[in-house]
Amino acid sequence: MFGKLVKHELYASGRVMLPVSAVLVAISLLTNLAGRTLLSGRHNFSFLNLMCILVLAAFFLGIFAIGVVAVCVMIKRFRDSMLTDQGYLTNTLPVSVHALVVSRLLTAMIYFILVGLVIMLAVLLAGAGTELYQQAAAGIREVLKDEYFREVIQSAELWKMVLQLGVTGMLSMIASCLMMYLAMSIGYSSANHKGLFSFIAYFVISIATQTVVNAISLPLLRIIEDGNRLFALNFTAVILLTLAEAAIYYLGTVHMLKHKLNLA
Amino acid sequence: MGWTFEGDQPIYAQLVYQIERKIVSGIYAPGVQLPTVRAFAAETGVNPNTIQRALAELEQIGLIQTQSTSGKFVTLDADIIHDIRQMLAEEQIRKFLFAMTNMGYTATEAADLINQYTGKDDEEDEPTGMC
Amino acid sequence: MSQLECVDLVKAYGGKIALDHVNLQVPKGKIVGLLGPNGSGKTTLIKLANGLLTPNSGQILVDGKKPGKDTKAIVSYLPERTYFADWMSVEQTLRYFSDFYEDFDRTRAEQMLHQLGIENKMKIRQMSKGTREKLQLILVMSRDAQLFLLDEPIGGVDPATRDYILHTILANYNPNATIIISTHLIADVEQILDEVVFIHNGKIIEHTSVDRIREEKGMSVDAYFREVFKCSENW
Repeated sequence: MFGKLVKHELYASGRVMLPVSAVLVAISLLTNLAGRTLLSGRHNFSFLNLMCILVLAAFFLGIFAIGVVAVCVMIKRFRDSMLTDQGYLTNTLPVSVHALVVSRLLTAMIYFILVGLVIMLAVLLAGAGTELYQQAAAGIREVLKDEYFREVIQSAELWKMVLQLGVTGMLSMIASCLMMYLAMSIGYSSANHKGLFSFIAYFVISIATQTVVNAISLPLLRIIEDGNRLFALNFTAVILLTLAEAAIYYLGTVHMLKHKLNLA
Repeated sequence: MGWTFEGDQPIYAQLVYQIERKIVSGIYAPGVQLPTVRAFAAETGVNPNTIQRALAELEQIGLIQTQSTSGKFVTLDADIIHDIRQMLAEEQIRKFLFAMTNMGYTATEAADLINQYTGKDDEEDEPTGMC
Repeated sequence: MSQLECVDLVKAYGGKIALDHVNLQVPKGKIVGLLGPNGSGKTTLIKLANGLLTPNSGQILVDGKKPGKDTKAIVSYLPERTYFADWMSVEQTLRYFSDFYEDFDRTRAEQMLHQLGIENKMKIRQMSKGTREKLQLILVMSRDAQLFLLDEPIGGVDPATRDYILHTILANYNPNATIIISTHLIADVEQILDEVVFIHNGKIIEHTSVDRIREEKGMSVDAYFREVFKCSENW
C-alpha cells in the first residue's frame, strides 16, 4: 500500500516537476548557445545580443525558480490531497496516517534531490565547451594531481564531515518540509481563514523553534576545546536537534490529521 | 414497466397486489419464471428485502413456487389462479357497489347500468378497461 | 453484531453540538435512510463513521471496531464533493480504486461507465457535475464493501440522474452489506429503504422500519417526516 501511495504521489507531483525540469534543461542548452554568441564578441548591441542576454537572465531565473516551484508543488500537493476536497478520498483510504504523511514527505525529498541534480546538469550544459569551463576543467585536473590534495581526500575526517554535512542537509530539508505540513494541518483545522492561519502557524512555529534552538545551542557552544572537537560536537548537536525538530513536527502533523481534520 | 406505489400502505402489500393482478391477467403466465429479487428491485425501484417479503407472501398464498436452484415460478395450478382472480374481482365489485349505493342506486339498478354501458360500448367497439 | 453502532456519541464543533449523545444500532443487510433537515448532524455522523472526525466522547464502531485502517477497507464512502483531482482521467480513477481497494470490481465499474457513455480517457475537468457524480457513485458501488455510506447522493441532480442513482444502488445491492443513505429528499428514496433514522439537532428522534410507519400511521415516510418535524422546525 505504501508503495502505491508513493507511486501516486510521484506521478501527481511529477506532472509539474518533470516538464519544469525539462524546460530548465532546454533553457540551459539555449544558454550555452547564447553564451557562445555573446563571448564571440561579434554582434555588439544587436538584437541578437539582447536576446542572448535575456536567455542568460532566464537561465539564472530558472535555476532560482525551479527551487521555488519544487517547494510550491510540495505545499500544494499536501494541501490539495490531504486538506481539501481530495482529502475525502485520501483520508478514507485503508492506510495509516503515518503512511500518508511519509509518502508525501518522501516524494518531496525525491523531487528536491532531483531539482538539485537538474540544476547541476543545467549548469554543466550551460557552460559546456566554453572557455570558462575549459579553464575550470583544467584547474580541477591540476588539483586532482596534487599530492596534498590526494592526502586530504583519503582522510576519514574529511569524509566524515561530508557525511555529516549531507545528513544535516537532508534532515534540515525534512524538518522544513514537516514544519510546513504542520503549519498547514493547524491552519486547515479551523473552519475559516484556513490559509491565513496556516501562515500564522508557520511563523509562530518558526519563532518558537528558533527560540528553543538558541536556548539549547548557546550553552553548547561554550564547550570549546579545539577546532575539531567543536566541529564534531556542533554536528552531533545539530543533527540531534534537527532530528528532534523533525520528530516534533511529524508527530504534531499526525496528531492534527488524526484528531483535528476539518474538511469543509 | 411503470410500477407506482401509494404512500399510505406498506409497499410489500402493494407489490403483492400488483403481482397478483399481473398473474391473474396473464402478464405473468402460469409456469413462467419471475425475475430475480435483484432484477425486481431494479425494475420496481423497491428495496430487495421488501421484494422478498412480497414474494414470500405470494408463495404462502400459493401463487408462486420456489424451485431450489432455478428461482421463483408462477404456479401451474389453474384453480388457485382462478380463485385469486375471483377474489380480486369480488373486491372490485364490492368497491363499485359501495360507491353506487352511496349515490342511491340499488344493486339491481347498478347491474342494469352496467349492461346499458357495455351495450353502448359494443356498438362503439371500445374496450372497457377494468382498473 | 451491528454493522454500525453508536454509543452515547457526542461531537461538538466550535461551540455547537452536532451530535448529542447518539445511540444507534444499524443492522447488517439493510438499506437505511438517515433522514433529517440540513444541519441535523447527518454528515457529522457519517464523517465519524469514516474516521474523518473523532468523537468528543462516546463511541462509534464499525463492525465492532473503531474507525481506522481496517474499517476503511470495508467502508465505501460517497461524499457530496468531487474527491478526485480534476486532472485525473477516468482510467486513472479506476486504477486508483483498484490499487487501494481489494474489493473493487473494475470490470463491473467499466461496464456501468461505458453504458453511460463515459470513456476511460475522459478527464474529470471535462465532465459536467452530474457526470462526475455518476462516476463517483459507480466507483463506490462497484466495491464489495460491508458498509456503504452515501451522503446526499441525489441532492442537486436532475430526476433522470436521480433515478439512475437509485437504480444503481439497487442493482449493486449485496444482502450482506449495509447501505446508509443520508438525505433530506425523502419521497424520492423511500421505496428503496428498509429502515429509517430520523435525526434532528444532533439527536435521534426515531429509528423504525418503513413498513411499520406505513402500517401503523397509514402514511408515507415522507408525510410522517413532515409531521414529526413540523413542530421542531424554526422558520
